[in-house]
Amino acid sequence: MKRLLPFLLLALGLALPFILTAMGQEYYISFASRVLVVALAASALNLILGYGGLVSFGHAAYFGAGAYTAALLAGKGAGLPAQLLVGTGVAALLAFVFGWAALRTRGVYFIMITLALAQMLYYLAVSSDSLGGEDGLRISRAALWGDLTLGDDRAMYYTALTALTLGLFVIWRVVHSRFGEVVQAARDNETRTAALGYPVRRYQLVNFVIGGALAGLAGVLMTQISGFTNPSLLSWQQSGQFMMMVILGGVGTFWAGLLGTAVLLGLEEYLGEVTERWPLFVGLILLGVMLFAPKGLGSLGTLFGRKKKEVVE
Amino acid sequence: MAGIQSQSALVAENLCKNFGALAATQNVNLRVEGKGVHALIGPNGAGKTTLVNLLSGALPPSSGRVLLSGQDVSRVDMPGRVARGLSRTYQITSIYPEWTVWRNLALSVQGRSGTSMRFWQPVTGERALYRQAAEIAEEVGLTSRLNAPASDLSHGERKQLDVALALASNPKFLLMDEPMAGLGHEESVRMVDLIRRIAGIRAVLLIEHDMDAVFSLANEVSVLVYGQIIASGTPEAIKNDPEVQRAYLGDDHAA
Repeated sequence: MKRLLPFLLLALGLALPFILTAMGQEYYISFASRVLVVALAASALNLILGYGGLVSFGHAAYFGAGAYTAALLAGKGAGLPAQLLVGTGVAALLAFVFGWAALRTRGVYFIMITLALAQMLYYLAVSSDSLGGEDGLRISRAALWGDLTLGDDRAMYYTALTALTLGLFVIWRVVHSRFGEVVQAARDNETRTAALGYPVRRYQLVNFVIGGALAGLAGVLMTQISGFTNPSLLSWQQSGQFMMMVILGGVGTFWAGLLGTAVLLGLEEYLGEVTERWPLFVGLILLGVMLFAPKGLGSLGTLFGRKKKEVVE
Repeated sequence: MAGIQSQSALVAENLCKNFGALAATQNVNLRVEGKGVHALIGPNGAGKTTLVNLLSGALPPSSGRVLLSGQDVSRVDMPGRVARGLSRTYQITSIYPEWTVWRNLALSVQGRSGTSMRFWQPVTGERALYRQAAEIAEEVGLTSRLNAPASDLSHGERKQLDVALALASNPKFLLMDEPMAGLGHEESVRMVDLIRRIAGIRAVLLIEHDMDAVFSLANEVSVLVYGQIIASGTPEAIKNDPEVQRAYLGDDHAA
């Protein structure tokens, strides 16, 4: 079952636009694209926070950096490949610089520094005319081939699905590699990991950069979904939302990003239609999850199917 | 100390460490080399663990130097010293409790077998890593527990795992911080046996309160009191040193 899960999810992902169309709910295709892209950014945070044990409270910086880079490039007439490549690269570079600075500290100081650095970027975007200030930047959707652009809901959806699938595959390989083993070891016992001969900070920084790059990739696609970018993508609320998603899904479990994003955005969407006071109910539900499933929604599955111990080889 | 440095020695030179007004380590000179056990004893609060932290690189010294095979490593961090052949165990066992014993050991073997900046190949596919991990488990007597989560181990087994983790880097020098602490009689006997085997091919600096173990294992004993080494010599000489008896053995042995 566990082995089949990725393929079942992928099959569901591929079929979803057809299902929604058959149900006459095409409106939700665009919503689903948003879930996929945000899930990619949340999964990237899960790599840093869940597997790396580093509470980065500035994840929006890399997401937003990807988005703004893409919007600036789009304004200059660059196509999708260039936007993806440069957007991801800029986010990676930014994560390297921010991570390098933040990793000189630990614990609550690390949280505050990642937050402060991200806020700097937010205020830069708000106050810069060339970045559109409060209004942000509008773009025209990138062309895929022929007349097909990402303005088409289905084209956008499958692009997002491809990105998420590739992103999750990368994360899976990284987590299960030699490198991933050291990163998780440093999370569980930093001192011992250094005593085993691993320069811990170097591993954490590289991991931080991988997470930042994937968030940047998600940011590029987010711009394509909404057709614009604005400072809210860089805001601390956005960072907080990524964290909520990861925690909701189950910190350090593989599907945390996707699960947390689907549930949180789903709740917002559904409750938003029912009541104006939806944030209150989202909050209550979050509280309930934290009280009754503190390891996240992903742990509910193992509650029933427990307790298979992991055996090497 | 200005003479010819042995190519294979761990040397502390006038090592000092102050925590505010507290001089935890005062002018310590120490030399660990070759094979065998150099024991470091001293009453509680004498600064033994601080000294281990200075030697292993967990703490920077306030003054003085640490030399490793003739090289000044005073400003080299812990991973750097591991790469130069120095490793340590912990008084409070330091393992990865959520992982199996096998995975614990594979991680430590990984450190000495090529770079770990490999991002793509699944680590579980590296047979050699797990084979070597199993060999180390056999060396310390944990073979039957390979697939157990480390959190399921008994206190004695955790101590064995802690030693095994330190051994995986194949160190020339091993610092052992109270490996016998909290062990039952039988477990202690096994640990003494293990330390003897380890010291057969490398230099061990052993910090220990169990005097029977110390005197049965050590070729050389140094006594640390209030951060200072007050005596150094063969176990026989230390046993008969009046100053040592007064400062340390007298009280503790009577108990």
